[in-house]
Amino acid sequence: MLNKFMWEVDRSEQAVHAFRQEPASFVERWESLAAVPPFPEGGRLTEMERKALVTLDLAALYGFGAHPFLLWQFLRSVLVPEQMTHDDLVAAFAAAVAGLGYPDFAT
Amino acid sequence: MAEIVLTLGVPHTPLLWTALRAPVPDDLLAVAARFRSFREKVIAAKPDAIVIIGSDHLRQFMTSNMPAFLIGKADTMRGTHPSEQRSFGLPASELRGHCGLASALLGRTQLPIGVDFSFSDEPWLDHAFMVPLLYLTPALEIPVVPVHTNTNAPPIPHASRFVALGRYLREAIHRSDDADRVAVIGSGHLAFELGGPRQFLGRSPDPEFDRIAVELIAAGDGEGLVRFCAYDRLLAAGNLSFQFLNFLTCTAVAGERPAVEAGAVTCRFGSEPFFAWPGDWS
Repeated sequence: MLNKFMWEVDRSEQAVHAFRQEPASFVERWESLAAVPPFPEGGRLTEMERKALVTLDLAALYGFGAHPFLLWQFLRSVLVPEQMTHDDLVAAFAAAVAGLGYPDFAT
Repeated sequence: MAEIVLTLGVPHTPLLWTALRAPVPDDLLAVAARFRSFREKVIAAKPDAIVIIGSDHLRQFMTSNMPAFLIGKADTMRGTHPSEQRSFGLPASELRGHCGLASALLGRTQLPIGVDFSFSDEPWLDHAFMVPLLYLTPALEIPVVPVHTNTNAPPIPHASRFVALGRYLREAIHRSDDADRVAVIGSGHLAFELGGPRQFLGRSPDPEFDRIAVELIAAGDGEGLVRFCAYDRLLAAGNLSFQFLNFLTCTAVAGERPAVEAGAVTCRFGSEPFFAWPGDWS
């Protein structure tokens, strides 16, 4: 469901904006909005996934086996350029995932 | 009886779209030159249809429904998803599709023996299609048949199936009377990583992979490519290197003949593949 969450946010301008404004309430709303547009799926995240999304814990999200393309696209969409530059995100991500290897991202 | 007039393999790194704007930085001059020369090849080949084989980037597909290979069958189709406009500056586009050729490749009433295609009457092309098309056919005037492949969401099809796909497309294009002159374009990467520890290194994550891959493509060695492209070898080359598999399909489309051009152009984004095979009668 982590991948689905990131996928749904990245593909919607409204969702990107809403997540940027209030990540915690956005995540809570997304989980409760099953079958309600603009988050047609919704779903349940684990407590650790929820916390990692709200705090944008790069190492945790990567370590959970998030799909690398979806993860990077999601992070870029919600952080760049408002929170940081692309180069800053590249550096922060490299530092966060160093030593974590390659978690299996098959679903 | 259509003729395959040209087969190309090109990169689709979306960050090229803004990075290649004038003045083109020195490290990207060779990439820009290669796209220009490949565009000239397309113009000279005078195709009346393009079959483009590209990796779905979880845009047309998602884990709710994940096909191996999908043919887009529509007279018009959208290009570029909103997040790609936002992230990469790629333009939203409307493309002409070649519905007749798409239907012929799908088998019209029955799927062909050996390839379990999915199809979409509402194809929406992501940057794997749009970056090559915007550089090779900027006016987007030639109708396309998109072939989406799952090279990003494991389990992905075995490498041998990408060769089988290419052999099938070659035979089916030749058999079709829906177009006369078909160009085939494959879109992918060499060793490539995104969202992992080796992304944005400023160089390829695995130059040895690139060297061997280019040698095998140059030789047109379909069976050698299958042996080389074991899942673990691709993963070791970078977490999204599976997109190289689209070039196995191109090799087979070209009859597993040696490429006339096979190179890895190094730049800030790693090693960008540029492959060209001759037309049927060259």
